[in-house]
Amino acid sequence: MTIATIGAFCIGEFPEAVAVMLFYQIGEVLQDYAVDKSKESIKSLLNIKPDYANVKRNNEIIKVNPEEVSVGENIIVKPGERIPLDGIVIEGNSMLDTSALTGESVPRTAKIEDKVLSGCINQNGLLVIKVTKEFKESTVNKMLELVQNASEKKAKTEKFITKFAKIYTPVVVLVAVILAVVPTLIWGNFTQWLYRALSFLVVSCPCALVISIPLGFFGGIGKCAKSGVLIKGGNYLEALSKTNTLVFDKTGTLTEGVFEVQSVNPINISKEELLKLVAHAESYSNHPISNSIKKAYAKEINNSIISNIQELAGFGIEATIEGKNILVGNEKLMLQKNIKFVKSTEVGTVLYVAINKEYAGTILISDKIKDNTKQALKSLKEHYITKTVMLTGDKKEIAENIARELEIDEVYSELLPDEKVKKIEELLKQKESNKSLAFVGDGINDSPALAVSDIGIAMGKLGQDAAIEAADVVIMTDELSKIETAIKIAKKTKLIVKENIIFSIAVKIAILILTAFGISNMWQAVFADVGVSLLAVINVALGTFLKATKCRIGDVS
Amino acid sequence: MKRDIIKIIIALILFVISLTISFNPAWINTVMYVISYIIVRIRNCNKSH
Repeated sequence: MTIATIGAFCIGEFPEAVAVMLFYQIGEVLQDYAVDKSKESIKSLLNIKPDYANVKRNNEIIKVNPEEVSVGENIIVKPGERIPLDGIVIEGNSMLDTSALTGESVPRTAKIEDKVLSGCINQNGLLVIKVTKEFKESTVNKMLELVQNASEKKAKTEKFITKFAKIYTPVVVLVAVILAVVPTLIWGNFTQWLYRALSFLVVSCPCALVISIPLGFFGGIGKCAKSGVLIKGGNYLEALSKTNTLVFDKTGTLTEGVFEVQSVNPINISKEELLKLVAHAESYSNHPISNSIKKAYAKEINNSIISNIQELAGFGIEATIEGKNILVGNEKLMLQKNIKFVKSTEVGTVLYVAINKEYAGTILISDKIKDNTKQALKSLKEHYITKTVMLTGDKKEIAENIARELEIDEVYSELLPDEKVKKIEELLKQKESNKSLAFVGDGINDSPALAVSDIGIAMGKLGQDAAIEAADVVIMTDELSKIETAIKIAKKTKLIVKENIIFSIAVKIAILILTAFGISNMWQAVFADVGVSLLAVINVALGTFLKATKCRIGDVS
Repeated sequence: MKRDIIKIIIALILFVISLTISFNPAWINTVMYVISYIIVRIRNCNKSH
């Protein structure tokens, strides 16, 4: 562009030279504005960074940088202040505004022993919080890091255009030089051929593509952020637009993950004693099943009687409680440990318990399908998804029961975490090459599956750090309907990018042909370059920024 | 951003004036084009630096 405008000046075509540079600058300003808007949307997700922490040291309250607070220290959060670090409430109760993290406008209650996350705003009561994570490891910092890295991962189209521009520009300059020199040597009239060469140079400038494509993806990421969906890069947004297979984890994703103990069936032991031993064995686990047992036990856990806790992924837990060896888990655990047991016929999650290798009974726990799941899946299948699959470590009967209710196409049950990964690999081989498979999960055991699929979508329960880190897309709330929102935005973004590519190239080719025949002049060339760039930027702005408000929570149906 | 917009507006005004009015002597038009060009070109250079 610089060569073209200086050349135009040299041959006395001042208006054209200024017009090219001027309209190009207008395009750039519009682009900057659009990028700023998008950054604002992403930053609104990030408007969660706490500036200070009130830490209690030597009976004094000191205002310090959150990074200077250590694990185990007590911090005080006054009404209206942002919680600076993750922790557990040890004094006071209050309502927390979690909207900056989850997009959820209804405040949550925080009382003693509740886990609270950094970034939330304390609305009314004074809270004393025992810090459980350093700032570096806190939810707020992890979210900031994820978002800041989002724009660095480029989509395939974006990468192609960057590479294309690098090769294309020198080639075009060379062709322009040839166009100015060779015909002059044959037919003379250098000024006329230089004018045509300069027009050619202006038309061929790939500004429209180089500016509008990254801007399109960036806009899409920003729009998703506004709707409470964090996309970790343009490449994932592009993959999301091609998604036609959704694979779900069951617990915590399709179901509430809030289990309740339905019945305790002891053998040669009292109900209370069985529940006590199991609650102590499960005391270190945060799995929803463990939480339901602790809730049913409803007494304080005595840590001094617990030792040798071992989590057996996909099987259960082994621990020593009051000197007794306790095994709590599924049928597989009993079979693996050669314990004779009576198979339960009850529908639900059955925990088998063995004390000192002797079968001691079962505990029946059941889960509930999330309220919005059925509607969200139905809508996804109507609009974007051709196949839904459920993978679960749970029993076949429970899995099939839930799948039937949710009209899920394929169910694979009783899977260990590594078997889930193998199943996803199989499904990846079966899918069409130009389509994507997304896995939706939430637990730590879902991390490998999230990593191996084309796109890993984590239900951001904001606490399951491993899942959030392994995922490519994080739904900040627990709403499955947000997946549809994200796919919708991804498809719209892809459409805008395609429109810009086709429109820019078509106009440029047309004007190039006209220029070669001497039919068009520099003004048409200016339109083909900066005019098209401007229109492409406006197209992105119209598609992603101006309509952004329409895609807020709950608006996509 | 505001400064950039002001610069572009000034350049645009100069450009439109010199495009619509033929001054006598003609070099006034040329100077206006050159100033307009320099204003936007400097913005471009600053940005790339």
